Amino acid sequence: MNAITQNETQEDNVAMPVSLARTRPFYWSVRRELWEHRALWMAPLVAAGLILLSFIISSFHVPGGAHLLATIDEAQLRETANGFYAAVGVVIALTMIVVVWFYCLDSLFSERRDRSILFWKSLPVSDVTTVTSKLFVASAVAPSISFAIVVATQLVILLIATAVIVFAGGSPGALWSPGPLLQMTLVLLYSLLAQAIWLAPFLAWLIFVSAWARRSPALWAGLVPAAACLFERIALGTTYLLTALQGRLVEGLAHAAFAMPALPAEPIARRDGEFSLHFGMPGRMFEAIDVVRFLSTPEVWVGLAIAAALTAATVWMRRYREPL
Amino acid sequence: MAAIEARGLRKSFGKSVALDGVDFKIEEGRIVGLIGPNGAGKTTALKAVLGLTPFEGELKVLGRNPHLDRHRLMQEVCFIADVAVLPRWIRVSQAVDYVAGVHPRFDRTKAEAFLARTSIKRTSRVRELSKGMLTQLHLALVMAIDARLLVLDEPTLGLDLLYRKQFYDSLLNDYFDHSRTIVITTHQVEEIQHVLTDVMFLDKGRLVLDCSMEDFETRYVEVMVHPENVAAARALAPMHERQVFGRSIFLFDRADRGQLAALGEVRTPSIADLFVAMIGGSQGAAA
Repeated sequence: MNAITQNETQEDNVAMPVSLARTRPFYWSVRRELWEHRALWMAPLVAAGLILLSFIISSFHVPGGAHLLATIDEAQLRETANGFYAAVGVVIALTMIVVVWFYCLDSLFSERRDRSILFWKSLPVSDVTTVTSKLFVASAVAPSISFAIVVATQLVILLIATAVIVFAGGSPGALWSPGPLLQMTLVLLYSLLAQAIWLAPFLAWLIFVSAWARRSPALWAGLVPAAACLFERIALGTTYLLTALQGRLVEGLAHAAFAMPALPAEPIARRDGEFSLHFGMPGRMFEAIDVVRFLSTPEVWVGLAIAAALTAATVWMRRYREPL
Repeated sequence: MAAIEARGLRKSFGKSVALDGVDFKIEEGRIVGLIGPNGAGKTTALKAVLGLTPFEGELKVLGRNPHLDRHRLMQEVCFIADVAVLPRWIRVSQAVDYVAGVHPRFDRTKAEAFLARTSIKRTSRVRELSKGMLTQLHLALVMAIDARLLVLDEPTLGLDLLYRKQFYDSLLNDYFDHSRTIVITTHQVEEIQHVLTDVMFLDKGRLVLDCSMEDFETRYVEVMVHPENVAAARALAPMHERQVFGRSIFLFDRADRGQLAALGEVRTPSIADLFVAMIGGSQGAAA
């Protein structure tokens, strides 16, 4: 209590006429990231645009069709459209992952390279706010942007497919059955959420390296784990680290988040020499959503603990960081 | 309360010592010029004050440890560390929005008014601005912050003469009042002499001069000595002697003005003259 009264009297003595404005450092730090790293929303948009373009071209590109619209096969179009829904999700999610990894590697490196760290540090924004806002952008904002773009793109595909079928004189009703669409959207949402949690230690590691490395953070981010795996293999003759990293990066998430005995490693499979997508997948995956299993997987919590530790280390490190 | 209080402030990078146990105290309401040659430790000292670098010794800025409490300190302190620090990708309007969003003492209308006096476009990115515009933008942001301590490290680098004059005038007239403290470093010493209330010289990590401008004016005397009096002047133990247009100019510390007046024209030296006398000498005659 004493301290508070003392502070108040001090404030009064200073006689500042300006009342303090309410500030939202976290919110503005997040907006700042989106200003600087436009790829976070532009790359998924470009990917969505390409998919839409390819869908439009392929809707008219029907085997043997000189009279394009007349020869539309409704079932085939539906399958094509469904395939594209899934492709939209997969392509945009992959684009986002790549963009986010580069974003993380750059997040606390570029501000030192261009000396703007001096400007950011001249403002009353704590290192905790700065570092957590970057992790938040990587693990929550970017996936949300991707989710919105995926849903919007799927809607556009649905509308185009409907238009094509209606023009061809068919009935688009089958396309609009809400079940599969809703299921697919929920699967996507759940996957993105689970992925954010699952990959959090990797993102935290990349952000840590971007704060720590004096040059080429991308190289260090890969080199250090590689060296650690090699060291373990030679010194101890074991491969626990390698197995753990592989498991987490390659198929661990699907195992942890979905109750499926064996999910196809590749959602896109070759069939009859043509790319096609697992048609029934959204439904199967929807039924396989298993939140309890995910939350009771020890690796999830170990990963979050590692992410928290790395983030704390990054916050500590940023306090000591200066321009390169 | 002192705005800044340092005791035994020390900082070394490996074997080279940037600050070698500096003690000083800057009272509230002063405008202090921190002057020193390149590599004297000015920037290191300012960085320590601003919480940008860890240090040894004791340092309190507005009663806080700057390194541990930087973000809270920055509510009451603002600084321009170097003209090149605004991020190149940011737009002028975004910079204003961001500072307004995170700084409780930022007055947006003030910043807009500063910017209105320049030719800076709101939609420009920082990388498109000229060096002078960049400084103007940064100053507009900083001067709109109602801070208790303002630290300016070479604030007018890259600005033309007119804007520099305008800047120091507005610093004195619009910004400064006796509850604020300003610390400035610059190599253009002549321009800030009339602005300062105190001057500090830093050389090789040590404080070699710390005095108020009133003291400065009473303590130091410069005499343009008539040729026949040169020997007499040398006998009075001047700090420094130099030749200008064939005449000898002597600089004295705490000498009897009456006695000196007999030797030639007496005047108060400029800070630059004293700087050369105190620090130029130690760096060899080449300077």
